[in-house]
Amino acid sequence: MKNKLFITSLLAGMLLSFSACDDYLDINFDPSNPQVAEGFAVLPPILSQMARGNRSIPGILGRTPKTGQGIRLITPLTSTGTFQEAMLWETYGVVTTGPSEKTSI
Amino acid sequence: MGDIWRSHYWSIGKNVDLIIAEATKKEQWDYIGVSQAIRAWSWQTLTDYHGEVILKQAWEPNRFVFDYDSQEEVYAEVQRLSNLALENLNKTDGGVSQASLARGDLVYKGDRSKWTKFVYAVLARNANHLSNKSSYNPDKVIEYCNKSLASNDDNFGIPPAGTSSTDGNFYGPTRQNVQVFRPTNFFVNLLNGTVFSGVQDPRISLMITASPDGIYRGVDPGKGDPTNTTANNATTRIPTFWGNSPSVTNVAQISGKYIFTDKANHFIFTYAEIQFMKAEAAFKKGDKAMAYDAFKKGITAHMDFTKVPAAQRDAYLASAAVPQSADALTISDIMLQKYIAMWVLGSIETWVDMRRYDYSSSVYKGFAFPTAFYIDNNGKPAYRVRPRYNSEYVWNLESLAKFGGDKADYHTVKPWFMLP
Repeated sequence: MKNKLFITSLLAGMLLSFSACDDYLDINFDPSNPQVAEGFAVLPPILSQMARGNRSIPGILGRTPKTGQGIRLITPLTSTGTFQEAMLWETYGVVTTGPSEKTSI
Repeated sequence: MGDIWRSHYWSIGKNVDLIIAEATKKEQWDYIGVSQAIRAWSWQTLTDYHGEVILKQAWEPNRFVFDYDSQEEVYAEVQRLSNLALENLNKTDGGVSQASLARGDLVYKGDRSKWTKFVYAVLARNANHLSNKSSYNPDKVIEYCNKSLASNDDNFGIPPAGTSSTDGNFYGPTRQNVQVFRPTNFFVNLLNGTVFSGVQDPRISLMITASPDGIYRGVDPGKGDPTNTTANNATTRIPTFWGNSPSVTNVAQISGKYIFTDKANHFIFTYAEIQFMKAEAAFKKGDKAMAYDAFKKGITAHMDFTKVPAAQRDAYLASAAVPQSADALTISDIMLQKYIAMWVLGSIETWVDMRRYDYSSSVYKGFAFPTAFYIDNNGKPAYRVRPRYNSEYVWNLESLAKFGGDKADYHTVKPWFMLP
């Protein structure tokens, strides 16, 4: 604790005595590209990733990947045995083919 | 499909530890608490989605294969981290500062009391998911809900800048991610009166859009859009989630609606969800009065969230769509209203709910399986999503094989949380 106080007062002293240099020294801090991964810089992308991890799920749950992707996740129906878009449970349906269209996402 | 996996282990992943390491030096307990809260939420989401995941060896350096841990252990880890987060968010000494936390906290603007509510929301989910077990403790769920989000002002919504396709809301028109999605008939029937005594829900026009002939239509999963024909294209075509005709392709002409706009927040927790969790727990406990009160608060909260005029909201609450006494309330009422409130924005949690009731059509009225499952399902519905392909199935197959993760029908194995 003693050391801490000492360092704090030393720092305070330094700040006071070199206060004229503050503005000059500040130019080395680029808030867009911080040198140290501090919370204020790292938290926003983490928050954005919270959304990213969740966002595409409603459509994906219950949807089968296309042939060739080599992986089956939630794989519900298809009577023909080929991979098709399909929802097992749903939050919303996926429109892939209309009666007159044969395109699929 | 591997997005949650990717987020949890990589893009959120070690960054949480980075914040904690830097914040520890400066005694920024608030940053530490927030980081632990996010990781707790992330573990919860990850295991609810995938089942068994890598817990103990996660982020362990110099490993090439990683062992999986049981879901029960991940649930315990969520509780451990949540309690640590609560401790840290409760501290006011050292470098704790709302102004400092607000620099990074785009959601709650540095308000630690709201992050505390966030942690209780994680704990409430964690406790409520075990509703099928003899160890289920509805009192715990109710306690957590009471300490969690207390109004729509506490909703956890992640704001997008919404200025371009790189920073707009994922569901917004500029991003063009949901142009091929339509509401299902199951969902439309919850709103148009088919399920609820012929009463049309005032949220219907705010959440989805009628065809040009004024009728709300949905699709059946996997069967495509039957209105997509040239013959009746003009009048019966189902609009997109943005509210426009699918024939409009110029993004500049599409503004979107509800949570499907460029600037709409991405919600992780809402007050409505908390109230529906409380309603369900109170119902299971046998306290029907409390369940009924929370149930109505949940509907009201989501009506306000969708910006239904108060008069229409109250008329709906007094209508035959809503049970008019605590004794008339059923578990189906609670779960269906929760389904509406959680539509799209809370889909992972909705999937947890539906699995807890094993897709019961007496709870989820009007819900039906497709006529046939994919051949590998062996006649069973899916209960989990496989771990991310391009790490687990490529490099870590040996570990997966230890518990059957390599089997063709692994996605139909029921996760621990829903088992008795």
